Amino acid sequence: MKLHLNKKSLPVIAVLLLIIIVIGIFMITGKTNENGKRKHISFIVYGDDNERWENMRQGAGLVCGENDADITLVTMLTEDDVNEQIEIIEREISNGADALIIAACDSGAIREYINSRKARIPVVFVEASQSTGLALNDVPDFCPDDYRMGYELGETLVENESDIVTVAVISGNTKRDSVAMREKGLKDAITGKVGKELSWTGSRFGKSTQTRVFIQRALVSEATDVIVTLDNTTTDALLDAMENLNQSSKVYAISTSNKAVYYLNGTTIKALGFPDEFSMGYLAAMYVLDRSKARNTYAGKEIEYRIVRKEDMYDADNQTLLFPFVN
Amino acid sequence: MDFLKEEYKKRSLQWTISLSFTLISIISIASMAIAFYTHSTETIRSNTIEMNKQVIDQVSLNLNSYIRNMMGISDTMCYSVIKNTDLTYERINKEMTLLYDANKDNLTSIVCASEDGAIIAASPLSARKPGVDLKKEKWFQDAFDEIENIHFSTPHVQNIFENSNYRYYWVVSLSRCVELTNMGNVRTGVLLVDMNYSGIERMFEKVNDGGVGFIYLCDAEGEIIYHPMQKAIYAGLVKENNRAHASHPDGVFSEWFDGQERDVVVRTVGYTGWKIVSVTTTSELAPDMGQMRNYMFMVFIIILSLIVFGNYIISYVVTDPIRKLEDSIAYLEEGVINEETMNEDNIFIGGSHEIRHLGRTIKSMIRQMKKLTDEMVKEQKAKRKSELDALQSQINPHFLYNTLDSVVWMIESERYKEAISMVTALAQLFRISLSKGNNVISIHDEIVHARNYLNIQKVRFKNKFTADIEIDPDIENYATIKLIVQPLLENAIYYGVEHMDGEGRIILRGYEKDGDIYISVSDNGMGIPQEVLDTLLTDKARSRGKGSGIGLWNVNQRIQTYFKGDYGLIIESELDEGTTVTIHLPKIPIEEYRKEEGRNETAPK
Repeated sequence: MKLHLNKKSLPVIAVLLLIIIVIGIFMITGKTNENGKRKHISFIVYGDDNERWENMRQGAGLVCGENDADITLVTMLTEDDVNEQIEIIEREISNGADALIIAACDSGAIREYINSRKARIPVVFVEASQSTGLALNDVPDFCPDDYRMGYELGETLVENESDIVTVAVISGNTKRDSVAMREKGLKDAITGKVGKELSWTGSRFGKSTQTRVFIQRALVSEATDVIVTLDNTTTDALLDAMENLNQSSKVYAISTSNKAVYYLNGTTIKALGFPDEFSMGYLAAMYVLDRSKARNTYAGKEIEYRIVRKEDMYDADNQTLLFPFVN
Repeated sequence: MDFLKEEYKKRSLQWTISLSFTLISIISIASMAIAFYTHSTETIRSNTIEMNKQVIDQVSLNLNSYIRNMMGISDTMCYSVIKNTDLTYERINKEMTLLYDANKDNLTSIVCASEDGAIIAASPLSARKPGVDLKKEKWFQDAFDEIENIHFSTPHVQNIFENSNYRYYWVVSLSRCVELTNMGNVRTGVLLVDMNYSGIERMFEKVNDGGVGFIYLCDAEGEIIYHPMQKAIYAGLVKENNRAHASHPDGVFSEWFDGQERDVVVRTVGYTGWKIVSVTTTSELAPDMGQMRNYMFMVFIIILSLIVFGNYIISYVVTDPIRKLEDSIAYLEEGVINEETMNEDNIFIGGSHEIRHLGRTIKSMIRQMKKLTDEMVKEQKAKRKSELDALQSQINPHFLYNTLDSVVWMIESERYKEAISMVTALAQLFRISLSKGNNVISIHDEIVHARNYLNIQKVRFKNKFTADIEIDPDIENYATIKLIVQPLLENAIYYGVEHMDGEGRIILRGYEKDGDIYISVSDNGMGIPQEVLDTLLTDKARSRGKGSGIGLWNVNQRIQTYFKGDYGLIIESELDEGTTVTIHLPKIPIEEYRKEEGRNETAPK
């Protein structure tokens, strides 16, 4: 048989080419699977307290474990230094982070920065309050309904206390949307229903010690029956200040710190607003690692919170929220 | 189906063979691959299940050991310490502390309480939380449900003692009813052994670290004791089918849960009734299965490529000779028969035995066809010649009759000289008529013939008419059938000018027009009525008129028989004006005709 090379060799070349392509794809795919890059998420938070974020980090870590990724918690030296947080964000991006989860020290400023920077990696916020769940904004956020939580805490306060009590509200860093919304909800609930409202603001929340000193001064300068705090930093600072001053005011707080839970078990904290930070971390990580699953499975899921009192803090549902398996 | 049949008919044999073999190969290989893949995945699944069963056995062993150890502590406290101690006179703290210290890695605390909730002894020693009522604790109440049993709680945060540094402990409580002796009086109390939950957690974390699937622990009601996604389950982020698993007897089963197919192994832990459950989702086996799937896909593609290539080569080898044979006989389909197409050497003979045989058969067939065609041509020529000869034989008596009639008339009139001249002309006429047996002669000869005829007739008709001959010399060497002008002249004389009162005139013209030859005979006679004109060239005209009556029909038939096509006679006539009969002939040089004639006659038969 005589084959003319130009015409009859076409199938031979096609077959060889196909085999080479298939083997090539197989090898490349195999290599990719073997050496597939492990994703890295940077969890950038405000403040210098690692433990404060442990519950949220554990939620995110669970998702990372399932998705072949790892997560690094990056803290700041201060509570409210926007420039420092922007520097950290830039550093993490340049270090090759595949995604960012940010607990912003100044929600508006950091959100604006992220939107204007147009980072090519997924970015989500936790603890921001502009919207809840899987927002359709440029940068989604994961947080409970902070206004509602503040409002329910206020309702609990009004229900438990007489209408002549003096209530001091320590606003904390209201540049964080979560704190601002909680404060608004609280005030909407208590205004006109308590004797007197005091607003202890004006502190610079650079470091927790500065907050504690500010609160101690306030405690000494103004008598109050009830004190309300709206975040972990001010709650812990207040509890420290009260211990230092041997104060015995009633406290209504929103916090997830172990210290707050401990004092809830005592007599100091009368009611504690406790958001489900584990779910916040879980959903945030799910969103940056597997957006389709986050949208399909968890779209519309609200971050839970509870207003817990001493009497019900050991209820089965509450204890799983208040006492995470992180010891 | 009809569409497929039509498509099938349009395609080449090679294409059909290649496609059929390829389809059969694909179906065969795909079936084999699917069967192999299914078998392999089932093997992977069963191996995984087997491995999980072994792990569960090991975990069950460890957990049993752990629980028995805790129960041993409880038994020791119950039977060796509390039962033998009268609490009025003795303390049990020392023994309790000894037991606690010996097992403190796994224990959070040991507490002995009275039935009214008062703590009688506890280790380690800690401050009791204010306001905590033990009687409201579930473990306390459970102890009195079935007093002979040891009761195990689900994990909970211990809420009895103050802890420093804001610590809290997740524990699994083991409680039982005990008999407390005071001054010889026996009353009931509760012995609590709080197992450190982290001990169970570590045990399960170790087995869940790596491998596929996960193992979790629940109690007999399905309450989760340990689960790697415990917190997410509590938060409602992840679902678990723990209630169904708890109610399931020990063994292996598959289930669809939360959109996933899962293989589940359940094992009950001895005394507690707790269930150790191993869950493996099929998707978790995907990496192994996916790798095998990719490998099989690669092998499938390579084998398929080789088969397609092999099919192409085989079909090419089989069909190429057929295609070549088909190409070599394609012209036969077009019906063109000439020297080139009937050349048997063009038929392809090659390929396999069968195709060579087919080629030879076709070659033989063409040879036969050629022979038959040649014979047919020869027969046609002979037939045509015989027809011409027959027509020719019809004219001779006609003409001879008229001429001899004239000669008779001359002799009767004693015009012997003219009679001699006429007979001489007749002799010349017949010489041309014979033309060595050729039916086709040059126009020149035909005109000479016509001139002789006119001379004869002029004598006969005493120059009653004049005749002009205007022949273009350029056409004299072209071919014409012989004796076609003379009948026209005869008609012009007899029907045109014979009975005229004045002088008759006949004009014979020969010229070329539009690549054809025209020879016309015109007279100025009385013309032909239209009804006669319409029948002159038809068969009916043969029996009419003077003489034999076959002149015009005969000429027309001879021309059409020989030259086909549009050639023949054209008759134009007007009453009292005259008639013109025109012969239309193809322009064929006489030399060329004779050569062609010679070739046909000498062609092999």
